[in-house]
Amino acid sequence: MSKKIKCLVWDLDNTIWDGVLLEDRNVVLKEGITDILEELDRRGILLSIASRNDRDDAMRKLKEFGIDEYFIYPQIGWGSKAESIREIAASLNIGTDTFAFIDDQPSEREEVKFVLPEVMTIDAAEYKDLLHMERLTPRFITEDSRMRRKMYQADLERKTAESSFKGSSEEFLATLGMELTVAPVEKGDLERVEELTIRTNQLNSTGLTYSYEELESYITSKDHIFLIAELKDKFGPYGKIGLVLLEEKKDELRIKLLLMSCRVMTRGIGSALLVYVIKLAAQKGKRLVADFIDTGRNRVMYITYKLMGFEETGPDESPGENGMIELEYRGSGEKEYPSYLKFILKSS
Amino acid sequence: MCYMDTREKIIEFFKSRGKGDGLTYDTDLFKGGYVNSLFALEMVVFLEETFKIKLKNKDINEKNFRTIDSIASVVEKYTQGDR
Repeated sequence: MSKKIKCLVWDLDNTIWDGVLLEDRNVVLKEGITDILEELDRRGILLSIASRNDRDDAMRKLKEFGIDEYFIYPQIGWGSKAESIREIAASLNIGTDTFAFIDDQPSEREEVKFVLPEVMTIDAAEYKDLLHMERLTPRFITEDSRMRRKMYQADLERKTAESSFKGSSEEFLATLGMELTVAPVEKGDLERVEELTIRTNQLNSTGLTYSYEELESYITSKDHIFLIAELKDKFGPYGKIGLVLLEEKKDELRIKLLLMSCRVMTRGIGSALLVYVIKLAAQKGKRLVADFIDTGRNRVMYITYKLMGFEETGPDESPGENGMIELEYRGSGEKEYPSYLKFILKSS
Repeated sequence: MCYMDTREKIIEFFKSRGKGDGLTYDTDLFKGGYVNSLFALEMVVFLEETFKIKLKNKDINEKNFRTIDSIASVVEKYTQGDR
């Protein structure tokens, strides 16, 4: 099955507008193009540009049309369009197999098809059908889809700020004014929750996936505490980026699942969430244990647990059934949230 | 062959990552906010590659990673046999 499209790359001349900008300053937008861009953006599909044009002229024109904001990492210049697509994919950190490219010129489409056969190519003549194409129609549209472009734009500003920052990464984090809000999962979050369990590989304590129904059952279950974490900073929202599923027994609190989006990898969110759970277990007077499965890609999660004071309960280096390892919190002393972020707990 | 002190190599690694300010061999790395888990993972990879060792899971823990001194003792547990 072909993957859903995460990024659609547009040509400009005779694709977005009628005419060639170099020859005619008064090109006009194609009919209905603004609505199409707006709807794709709302669906959480990122939009970008690969166009042979003078960059400043083209950007000025897009601004004049009031559509420049929709495009992230636009590639306007004289290079190859396949190369531009590669560049956009690298900047966004998403695979080219989730890219589509729309252009009126068969030769441009052929070049992209030849170099990057995994990219879906679309003839600009079909632009009015874009919204009906199956690969451009996500299964569901979450709050995070709607905000996706803004989140990537905020991320771009953050990266620029980080690369020009003189000082350690902790000092940089302190300048961000991060707020981590943790709240019980609600029904409206379930689609995002499912998306997170499917998309998250590296920062995932078990790699297990759950059905929508299973996830839903944890909301009402008396034996479970199911939390979702949302992060924002002065540049804007990161969206809902973390999950914690706890199973509560008579004298034990078990972390069944801890995961967070790769976009917050360097923000210390895993440790902050564990601090909360450690405090909660202490408050309830319960032993704290965690399920961990080595998926080959989640060593960073294992290290997060170990450095917070979790230890293997079984004999060393011998996973049980399904590769499951049980870790128990044996740390000492009061654990504190990282000083560079504000932790907010929201009750339902 | 001349060995740079294990601790020196480790502190050099922190410095190379912009984390050298005010860092001494016995600074509490967790309290000082020097270590997040991604950095810790990079450090584990650094230790394994630099010292040609394979850390066991049981060696990766809060106590062993609290200071540069304690990290160095774990590493030396593996490397001393070679000298």
